[in-house]
Amino acid sequence: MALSEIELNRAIKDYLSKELDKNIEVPDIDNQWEKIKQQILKTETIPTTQKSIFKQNRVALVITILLSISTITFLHPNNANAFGGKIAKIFNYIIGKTSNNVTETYQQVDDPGIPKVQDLGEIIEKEVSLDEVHNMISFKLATPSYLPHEANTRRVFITSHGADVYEINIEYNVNDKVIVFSQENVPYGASRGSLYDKDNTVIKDIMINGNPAILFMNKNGMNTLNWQSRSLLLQLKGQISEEEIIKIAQSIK
Amino acid sequence: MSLHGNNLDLFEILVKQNYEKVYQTVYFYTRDKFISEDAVQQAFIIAYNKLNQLSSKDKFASWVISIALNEAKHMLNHNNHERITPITNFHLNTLSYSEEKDLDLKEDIDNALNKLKHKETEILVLKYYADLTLKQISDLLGINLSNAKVRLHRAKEKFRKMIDNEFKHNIGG
Repeated sequence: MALSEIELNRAIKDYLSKELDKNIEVPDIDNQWEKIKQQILKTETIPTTQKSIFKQNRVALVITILLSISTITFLHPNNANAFGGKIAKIFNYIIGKTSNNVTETYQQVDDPGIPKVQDLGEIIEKEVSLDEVHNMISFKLATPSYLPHEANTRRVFITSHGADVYEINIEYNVNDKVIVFSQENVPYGASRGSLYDKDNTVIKDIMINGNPAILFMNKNGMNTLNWQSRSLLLQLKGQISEEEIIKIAQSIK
Repeated sequence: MSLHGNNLDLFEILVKQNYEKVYQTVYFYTRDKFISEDAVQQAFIIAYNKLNQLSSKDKFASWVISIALNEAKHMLNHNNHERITPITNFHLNTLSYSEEKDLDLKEDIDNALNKLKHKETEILVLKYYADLTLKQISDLLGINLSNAKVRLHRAKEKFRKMIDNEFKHNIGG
């Protein structure tokens, strides 16, 4: 059995891949992702809340100014998420051909004319109570009037994106699963791009209370529903059935 | 959603696509569940923050693996732990294949790997499973590039000869 160089390389690769798969037990990836995510959120939050510009050295100040200029160039007037979109392109580039991108655009009926550039300001995320959220925001908080009967509120996070733009994430425990309901006020309309793994995800266009919505159903059981209502970008995400996620979404006014 | 929300959603895809491979490589290197978990977690966080330093999209997994292995190496040095248990110490008899011809080849390779030194198995894992470059491997193992090339060449040739011998033996038997 004289193997060519290519066959030998393939045989080694295949063998090691199977061998490691069989013999090394991998921790629960969802749990590991939650830990990684929390660390990323922590590292993103700490510098913005603890740093004072007066304490920075001259080099840091120059970098800040350059970053500010760069940020302005990334901002599309009508798009509250455009800066994130720039970074998202890097991910899109890496994930490559196994991914697809879906863009939803929401334009307000009472078009305010010249769109405003959003001042991102400080991005601060913190855990709060629902009562505190009501006191912090100027719009009516969207909440579901229906949840599975075993659901209870786990945590609430609010993120200020500056210029009176807030993102609120409400996490619910449902038995051993977690549902996350997110909302963000977008007074001048917005485009939301969603990148997904097309090998493992089926998407469906549906309507929620008369508004177009996109349901992403991953084969790992994770469903994500994106839609918009009364100047709010809304998202429900969790390992719950299609029927249940739609029922919860329809109860959100 | 929005700025970091969108990026995290996208990064979640990357992590979930690559976690298994990164973890398995690091575990193979450390044989320590806790160090492996910590090193892999740290590597993905570093990768998230330094994504713009990635030279090619095809190299994401091996890039994270190299970061994770260096993190693990640092942790092992810091904790003065033993490391490296050759793959041949795993329970090879638990493996099964559905097709007979695969089984025959598999048996040949199993026997081959049992005869490799652990340093040779190690370099095969780093090169052919983790897709690391020889430069990354030499840095990780603390040997120069020439030595890494020689070690890899010897491991491959040994692997080839052993498969050939096993095959001839089976035909003869």
